[in-house]
Amino acid sequence: MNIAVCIKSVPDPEFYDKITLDPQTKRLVRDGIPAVIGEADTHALEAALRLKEELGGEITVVSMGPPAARDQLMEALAMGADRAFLISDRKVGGADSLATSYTLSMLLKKTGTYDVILAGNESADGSTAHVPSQLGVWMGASHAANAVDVSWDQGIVVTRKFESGLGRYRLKTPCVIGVTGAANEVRFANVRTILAAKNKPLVIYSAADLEDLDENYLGLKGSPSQNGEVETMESSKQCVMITGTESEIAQKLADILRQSAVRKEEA
Amino acid sequence: MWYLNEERRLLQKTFRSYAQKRVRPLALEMEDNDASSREALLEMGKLGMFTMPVAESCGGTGPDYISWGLLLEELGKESATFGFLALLRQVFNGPMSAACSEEQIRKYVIPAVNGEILMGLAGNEPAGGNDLMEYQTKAVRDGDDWIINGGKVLVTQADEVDVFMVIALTRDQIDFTTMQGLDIFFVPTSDPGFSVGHIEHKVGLNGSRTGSVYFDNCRVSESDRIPNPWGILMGFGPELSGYAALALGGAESMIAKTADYLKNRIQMGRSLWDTHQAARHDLAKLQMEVYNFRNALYGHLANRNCGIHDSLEAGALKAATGPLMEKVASECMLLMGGTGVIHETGIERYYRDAKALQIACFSDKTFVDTVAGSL
Ligand SMILES: Cc1cc2nc3c(=O)[nH]c(=O)nc-3n(C[C@H](O)[C@H](O)[C@@H](O)COP(=O)(O)OP(=O)(O)OC[C@H]3O[C@@H](n4cnc5c(N)ncnc54)[C@H](O)[C@@H]3O)c2cc1C
Ligand SMILES: Cc1cc2nc3c(=O)[nH]c(=O)nc-3n(C[C@H](O)[C@H](O)[C@H](O)COP(=O)(O)OP(=O)(O)OC[C@H]3O[C@@H](n4cnc5c(N)ncnc54)[C@H](O)[C@@H]3O)c2cc1C
Repeated sequence: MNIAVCIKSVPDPEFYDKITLDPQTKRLVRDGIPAVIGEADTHALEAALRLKEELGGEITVVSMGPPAARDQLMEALAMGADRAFLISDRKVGGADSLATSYTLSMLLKKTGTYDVILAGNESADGSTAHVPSQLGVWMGASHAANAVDVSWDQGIVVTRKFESGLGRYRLKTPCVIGVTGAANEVRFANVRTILAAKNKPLVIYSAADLEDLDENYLGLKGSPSQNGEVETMESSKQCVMITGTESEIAQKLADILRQSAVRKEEA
Repeated sequence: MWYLNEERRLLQKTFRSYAQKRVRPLALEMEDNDASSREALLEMGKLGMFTMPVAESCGGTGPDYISWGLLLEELGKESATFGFLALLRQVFNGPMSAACSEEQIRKYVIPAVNGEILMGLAGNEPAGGNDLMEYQTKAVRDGDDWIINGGKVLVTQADEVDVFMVIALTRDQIDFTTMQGLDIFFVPTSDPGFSVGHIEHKVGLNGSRTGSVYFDNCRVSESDRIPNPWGILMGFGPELSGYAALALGGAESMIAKTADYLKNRIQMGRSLWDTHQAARHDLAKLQMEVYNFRNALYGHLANRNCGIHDSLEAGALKAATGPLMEKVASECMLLMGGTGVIHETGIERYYRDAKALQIACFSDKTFVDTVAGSL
């Protein structure tokens, strides 16, 4: 089975309190913040490793991002993926989810034909959860999001989570699946696999390396969604002593809680 | 850090994640109930974590001592005891390639490296760690077999090990010129003659289940006798530098916890960190010792990667382990006030572990005497 996994390099959650928004560009300022593989993507990779263990085949990881995103691909190789491709180019930078999914689809088409394409259900930073479904459309493949289980039973079977319950689907291949953190427990990398990673192929492409790219869907220019106004939330601590009888205190506390649950503009 | 490269960073990340996710939840259990770490240790083996720096002929990944140091450092951050138990795997496996037969490597060493079995050392006797001549455990030849009788004390994981390396006298006297008269046998603990005695209550390293073991007519075959026992006994020496990596990790985590405490402990509107230069400097001085210690350790391990295995240096590092851990724990407890002495804060146990670490695998004072002998 030929499996592809989309890996996004995202800021390390341990440093979230240090991330700021650039007021001009509305982009995240990530200087000095280490990057990691997005949490959901590690579950997508784990699902791929399990499918490969059961069915054999090859796992290809793909990413779009800055040159440093190579480190996260290397990590995926250390986890057990077989080969990796990164597209890194100013032309594809600043992409919204549509431009991202378009570019990823072109990278996937360039690098092979895949039976199953796994992605995190939603990234740890942008978190739109658009990319997996959009990718399905670009690839002309069946697709399912919110997967809490990915398995093989004479074909790909996906369990999806809805607000009202769970649904099981058989997907025709090729297919694209958005995998959630509930799908599996991610393994620890094996030392032998880590040591083997440096001998596996890791290729970095520029936009020019991908033939037939439609500039209308590339990068910031090709992105129909542009960031609007962003506000930084102010938060401060204030201590108020509530006095009175027990029931008065309870009443006042309830009032405060009720008020604080109402957003400013609604109040 | 000069000794890190991409591969070692990846390893370090995995070791850290393993230590935080698996060892952290186990640490207090081991401390309070002498709980077993057997499953976690076997899992580590399956994850290839005991392949460094073991020879490829023994199922290892070759001699990268620096990666081995990184592993022990990360484990030491969460639990000195767990780190100690992981370290023992290498202390045992390290000298094996030069000492064992191919059959023994296949039967015992490779399964131990791969986390299929746990190996232990039953060496020490009431007569003392060093006084081999007075050992009471004897092996007597019986056809193709050996019959072993005797007992050992202060044996780590006395009731958790699958196979012990048992030191036994095979003659009335050890001939120190031909090195004959003392042998080491692999003895599976499934042998009907094997039994476990008392598990000790110790000052530190709780969870390592130190106890007595007995051999009552245990029968092993000649092929279970290690051909070069002195290769094992002498081979342990260089491996003892791993102790320093445990201490390094322990010291780093204690300092980090203390800095965090001082910065977040607000009194009269300001943090202790901001108000007390003395506290900041006390902690900074410990950190400076850690810098020096770290460079000494990884310098030594880098030398070992180049084939230089200096037992005297390794002994010096082993002997520096307990004092560093004890000093950092003592200072950090003081800097953290009441919180510092509370069990669950996880600092005071390093204070106790330091003492036990000074005696396990030969008393620190032995190394001082060896260095004195070299002058
Ligand atoms: C605060 C914020 C709000 C945003 N809002 C919008 C918005 O409303 N509309 C919009 O179009 N864009 C938006 N963006 C931009 C968008 O998030 C990303 O820039 C886009 O590149 C990918 O979308 P995502 O991260 O939301 O992906 P998601 O769809 O959440 O990601 C799902 C999975 O797709 C895969 N994937 C996503 N990106 C990559 C990649 N670069 N390489 C490999 N795999 C990848 C991963 O497996 C990932 O887990 C926003 C960004 C931020 C920071
Ligand atoms: C936590 C722990 C785990 C252990 N695990 C194992 C194990 O798995 N397997 C095993 O076989 N043994 C194990 N031991 C035993 C350990 O190897 C011995 O305790 C150690 O070698 C010291 O021997 P002893 O206790 O007989 O002390 P003694 O020989 O009685 O020595 C007492 C003291 O005398 C001094 N001294 C002794 N010899 C010298 C010397 N040559 N030079 C200078 N001073 C000296 C030292 O101060 C020493 O501490 C363990 C011990 C501990 C504490």
